[in-house]
This record gives sequence, C-alpha cells and structure tokens, in this order.
Amino acid sequence: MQKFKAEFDNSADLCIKYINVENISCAVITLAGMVNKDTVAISVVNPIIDASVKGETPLEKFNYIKDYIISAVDQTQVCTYEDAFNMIMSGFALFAVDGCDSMVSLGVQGFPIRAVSEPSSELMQRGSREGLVESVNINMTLIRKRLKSPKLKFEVINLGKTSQTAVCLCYMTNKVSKDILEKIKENLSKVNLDMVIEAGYLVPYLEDGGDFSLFSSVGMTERPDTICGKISEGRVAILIDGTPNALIVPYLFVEYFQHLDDYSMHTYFATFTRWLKYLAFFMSTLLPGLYVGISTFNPEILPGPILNKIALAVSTTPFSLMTETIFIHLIYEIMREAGLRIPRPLGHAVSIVGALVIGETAVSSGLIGGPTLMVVALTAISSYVIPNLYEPISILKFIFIIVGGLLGIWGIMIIFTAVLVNISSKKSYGIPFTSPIAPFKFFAMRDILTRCGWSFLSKKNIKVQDLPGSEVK
Amino acid sequence: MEKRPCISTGQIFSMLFISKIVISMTYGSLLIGDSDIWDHLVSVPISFLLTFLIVWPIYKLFSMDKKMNIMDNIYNLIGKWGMALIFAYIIYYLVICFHTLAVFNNFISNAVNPPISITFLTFILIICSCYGAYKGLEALARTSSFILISTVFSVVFLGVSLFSGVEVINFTPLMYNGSESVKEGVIYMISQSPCIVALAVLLPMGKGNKKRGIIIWNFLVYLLFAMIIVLIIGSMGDFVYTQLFPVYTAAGIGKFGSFRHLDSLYLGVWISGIFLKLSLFFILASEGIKKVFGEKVKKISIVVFGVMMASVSCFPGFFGILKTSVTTWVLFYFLIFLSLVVPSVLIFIKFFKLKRRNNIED
Repeated sequence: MQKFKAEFDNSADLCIKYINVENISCAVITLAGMVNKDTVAISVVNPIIDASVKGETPLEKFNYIKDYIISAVDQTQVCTYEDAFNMIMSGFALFAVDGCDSMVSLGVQGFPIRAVSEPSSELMQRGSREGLVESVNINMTLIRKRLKSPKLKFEVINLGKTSQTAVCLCYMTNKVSKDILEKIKENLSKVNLDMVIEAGYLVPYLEDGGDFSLFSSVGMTERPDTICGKISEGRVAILIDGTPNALIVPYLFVEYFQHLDDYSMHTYFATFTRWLKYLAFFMSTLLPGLYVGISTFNPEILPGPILNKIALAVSTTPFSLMTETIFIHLIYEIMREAGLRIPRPLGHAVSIVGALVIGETAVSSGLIGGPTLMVVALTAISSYVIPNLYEPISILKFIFIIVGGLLGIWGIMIIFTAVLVNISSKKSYGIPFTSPIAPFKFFAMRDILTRCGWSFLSKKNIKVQDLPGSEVK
Repeated sequence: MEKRPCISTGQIFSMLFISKIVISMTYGSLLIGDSDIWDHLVSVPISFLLTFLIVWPIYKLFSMDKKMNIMDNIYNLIGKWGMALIFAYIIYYLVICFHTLAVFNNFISNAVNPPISITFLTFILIICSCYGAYKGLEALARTSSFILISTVFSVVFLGVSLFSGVEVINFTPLMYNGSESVKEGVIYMISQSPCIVALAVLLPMGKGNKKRGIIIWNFLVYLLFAMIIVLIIGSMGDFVYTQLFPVYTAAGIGKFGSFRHLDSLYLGVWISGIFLKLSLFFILASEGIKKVFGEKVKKISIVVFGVMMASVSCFPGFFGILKTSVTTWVLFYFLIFLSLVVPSVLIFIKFFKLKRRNNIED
C-alpha cells in the first residue's frame, strides 16, 4: 500500500479500503470515478466482510476469497506493480491480501462514458445511426455485434509511455495478411510518444514508407459498420481508447471516394454519386487554378459571354485575378476555421458576417469580382463532397492558383502530373496506393468506375492483399 | 541481389506510347525539311515493318537471358571495355532528353508564345521531371496509366472533332513528286523512336508477354501516325505546309458540338507526355550510371542530369537545334547503332561464348 501511496503521491482520487478478515489485513484499491461504487460494494467489499474465510496462510485465504467470495466476473491475477497500475488506471479494482505477492484485478469499471450516437462527420442517409464512442471496449462490442464470427480478433496493446493508452488491433484472422499485420505491429512498436491522446497521433507511425505525400494511406472512420466492411476485405482497424475514430490500414486512394451509403442506394444512383465525387475532387482541386490560369493566359478558350463577364469584373477590381482568388480563399479558410472552433451559438454570427462581408459588401464595393466569388463557392462546396480529402485539397488548390497565375495551364499541367507521380509512388503496406486503377485490375472496376449490383459484387471477395501490384501475400 | 522495379508489360508500353505521342503531336512538314507530309502515309507501313526489324536484336538478346538488360549484357560479355558502350547509351538517353526539351521550347515559343517566361517554365518542367525520375520507374509506370487514359480520350476527341472537317479534295495522289518525301518520312519516324533503345533497358523489368506488347505498341504508334496524317491533310489541305506545328493548329480549329479551341486539351496531354518522357529517359540514363558507378550514385545522377538540362536550356542557341535536319540523321544513326549494331554484336559474342563452353563440356 505504501508503494501505491508513494507512486500516486496521495492523489485525491486514490481510494484504499482496508478490511480485516480473520486477523489478516486486506485492501481494495480503486480510483474514484473510475469504478462503479455500487458494484464494488455489492460484489467485492460486502461479500468479503460477511464471509467466513477458510485457509491458514495468507495465500490460501487470498485464493479462497478470490475463488469463492468475490462475485465479480472479470478477474485477472496481477503479479507486478506495472500491471497493477495499468489495471487500476483502466477502471479496475485491485484486491490485495497482506502477505501475498500477487493481487487480483476486478472488472468493476464505472467511469462516465458518452452514449452511442450518430457520428457527426460521417452521416448516412440510410443505414445504422450508431457511431464509435470514446471507450474502446464499447467500440469492440459495436463491431462484434455486427460481425458474429469467431475469426474476428481484437488484440490490445498499450501505447504512450505516460498515457498507457489502450490501442486495439481489430482484424479477421482468416482474411488479414500476416505480412501486413506484422508490419503494423512493427510500426506501432516504434511509437515513442509520451502521450497518445488521439488517433491522429498514430497516423505518422502507420504511414508506410515515410516519403512526403499530401495524401494519407491511413484511413479514418467513426462508423463501426464501415470498419466491418473494411476488415472483411483483409484490412486492419485500429481502435484507440479515448477517441471515437478508428484508423484503417492499408488504405488506398480510391477508398476516399467510397462511402457506405453507396451500398444501400440503387446501383445506377450509387454509380452517379461516385462519379460526382470524382468530378468534385477535380473541381475542388483544379477549378480555381484553371480559372486564374485560363483567364490570365488563355482567355480564348472561354466562350465569349463568360469571357466578357470576367473581363468586366477584373477591370473593376483593384487586384489581379490571382491575388483576388488567393485572398478570397484565405478569407474562406479563416471563416471555416472560425466556424469550427467558436462556440456553437456564435456559429450563426460567423455565417451572417461571412455572407454579408464577402458575399455582399466585397462584391458591391468592387473589391472582389462576382465570377471569382462564384468559383470560390463552387470549389468550397465541391470539397465538402469528399470531406476526408479536405486537407490535401485545401493545400493543392492554393498551389494550383499560384502556379496558374504565374505559368498558366502549362504550369498547372506540369504540377498536376507531379502530384500524380507523388500519388502513384505511394504504397500502403506493400500495396500501390493507386491500385486497382494503376496497376489495373478490370474485375475491381465493379466498385470503382461503377457500383455494380450485389449479385455481382458478392461473386468474389477481393482481399486487399490480392490487388494488383501487391508485394504482400 | 539488387531489387529491380517490376512493372507490367502494359505499363512499359503505355510509357513508350506516350513518349512517342509527344513527338507525333509536334510532327510537321517544316521540321522535316519541307517534306510532303501526305507522302508520309507510305512511310508509315515501311517504318512499321522497319521498327520490327530494328527491335528484333534487342528482343533476341533479352530472350537469351530474361533477367539482364543491355547494360548487364555489355558488362558481362565485354567487361570493363564495355563501359564505353554503356556511356554511349547514357549519352543517347540524355540526347533524347535535350531533344525533347528543345521540342518543348520550340513549340511553346513558336506555336503558343505565352506571356510567361519560357525559361522559368522549362526550369519547372525539369525540376518536376527530376522529381518523377527520383520517385522511380514504378511510380512513373503507374502515372503513365492515368496519362494514357486522358491521352486516349483526348486523341479520340480531337480525331472525332477533326473528322467532320475532312474534305476528300485535299487528298492528292501519293508520291506525285517522287519518293524523296517517303524516304524522309521513314528516316524521321525511325529517328524519333528512342523508345526502341529504351526497350533495351526496360524489357527485363516487365512482367507479361513482351512479344505481344511490342506488336500492339508498334501497331498503335503507326496507326496514330497514319490517323494524324489523314486528319491534318484532310481537314487543312495545303494550309498544313505553312504551319510549323500543324497538329496543334488542327486542334485549335477543331470543334465538337459546343466545344471549341481543343488546343488546350492538346496542350494538357502534350505537357504531361513531355514530363513523362523526360522522367523516363532520366531514369534510363541513371540505370547506366548505376551500372558504372554503383547504386549510391544513381539518385544523385538524376539531379546532375537536371542541372545539365537546366544549364543548357539557358543558352538561346539551344532552341534552334531542331531547325537543322542534321538532328534527324544524327538521331537515326545513333539509334541504329544502339538498337541494331550493339545488340547484334552482343548476340554474336554470347552465341560464340556459349558454343565454346559447350565444346569444352563435350
């Protein structure tokens, strides 16, 4: 007990309940708020106090209490202080008997948790409304109840020298590639962080290769049903305690354009929405750059009436088209960031200020041209179609605006090809990031160029390690 | 055992196809010494057959040992003295890069004439191409798949848009003024096929049926050439002979429904192709450097190549390189030497060594 008190430095939440059982001193150690007090009282403390304990030595008494008196179902023998600290900080109660060199941890967790609710960043028109929560145990349950297979395996490890965060690898033993699994474990073993507070902390460690790329080969989801779909294709999901996001590896470029909703819609409409997403990606990335580049250097490409409108707008505004477009995009990004961070009730105020200042006043005062504003609005809306790609899109669009303003469409095409090379050079755990488009697999196009019907989709389950160009088995 | 990039045969030939398209799109009479483009239609089947003949030694050498590229063969069969030949390949690949850059500069400054610094644009192109080469052959091969899709769509789109403007009256009898233009056409088409020499290095890196790949690639390349000749002559008539880059001009006048000014589409595809071609030939040259100086120098050599290209492109006289028809002949002889003579000699030495070994064993 001295060791506990010393380590916790008499922390206010450390509770040690001493019980005297037939002249032998016992203790139940808990952390206030981490355990359910009623459960501790009913299934641990009261039975010990009321019971007559058999046995002569402290060890015999300890074993008797553990086996016959304590009614908590989840019991684990703990032999080291390190394990004991881990357990107690994970919401377990520890039962110790004076004279014994081991303790027993009891599953009586009772810390407050957020109820399962609809994920805010991955809404679905049809389908489940359940999203992941902060507790890794509940997340495991949400997955298990959807995948009733003994092949589904959860493997928990602790990461973070101080935080000792529980990180759970979730995969199907009959689908996952052993090579990929080993590589993921190897990458996670390299995590030398002090604190692992959020899923994003692990992303750089899980990225394969380490080359700089704007696009991540680690997926993120808030939906247990998405996780089930992904792990059934041989991927590994990583659940992190304390965060309602799961990481998915390997993750390929085409997956950014796939959404669970696609599979609950009619095939023709799902195919249509998928092509909308591809179009939205190109629009959100290239449209402002092309607008600046073409208007500045190749106006002849534009139809006469549109060109007249742009020319009129440019002649009445004080800035060049490139400066103007960068300026509005920056203001838009500032407003977006403000909208994310400020308290919700003030959100409307930001919207009103944004709409009035940018939409109305800036145009009517002649500071900004109407066509430019239209392009920015189109770009912004397009980028919301694929929210997971927002980060690379927002950077790329600025790069393309600058290149378009300096070098026209020639520069845009050169940089676009360079971006293409960057994406193509990336691998996610030995699988080309651009697979199955490049290297090409015709059969896989059933869920990329189109979203075929279930009768065709269910014909053969393509595992991620079977994709063309894969170096793993 | 060194790890070699492994790409599919389809990817190899898509890279080579794009590299060839880049040159096909800048094809014009004024660049080939006022040759009659219409007669080049006869040059197409001749060049098609000649290409098979020139490729054969490279393919034969590859089929004798499918793990070795031409540089490995030179090193194994000739030893240290063969380094000079490896350097010849490196120089050829770099000459092709210079030539491609010259085409780029010539085209941008003469046909497009944009109000931007062409030198700066060239620098950006060189830097990005070096980046592409640095990322390696696998990345480039995958990129080529995307570029090929857009290229095929654009070419079909341009073809359809020009087809409606084709007038039969523009087609004059073939070889009306003799066969000189046919010969010039053949020399031009063969000299602008550095892809044949590229195959000497690329073939061992590919997975799949190479023979079929060569046939399809060669067929499509010359089909495209024939299409270009028919379409630009048919739609532009004698106007073709006044244009430095008639394919670009044709793209500019082509229209498809409400789509006009398809030259922008042309430019997009063409610049991506130039990027890919430069990166590919940087990689090929760096493969030679690797063979001579070792793996460590390979990546550094790409940067050195980039600096070389950038330095040379600063000289104003560099852009005039294409105006002389000498270039075509130099490229032609260089190509024949590296794709026909060297591999044939290597096959002979290999065959001789094999026979001698068999005799000793007997």
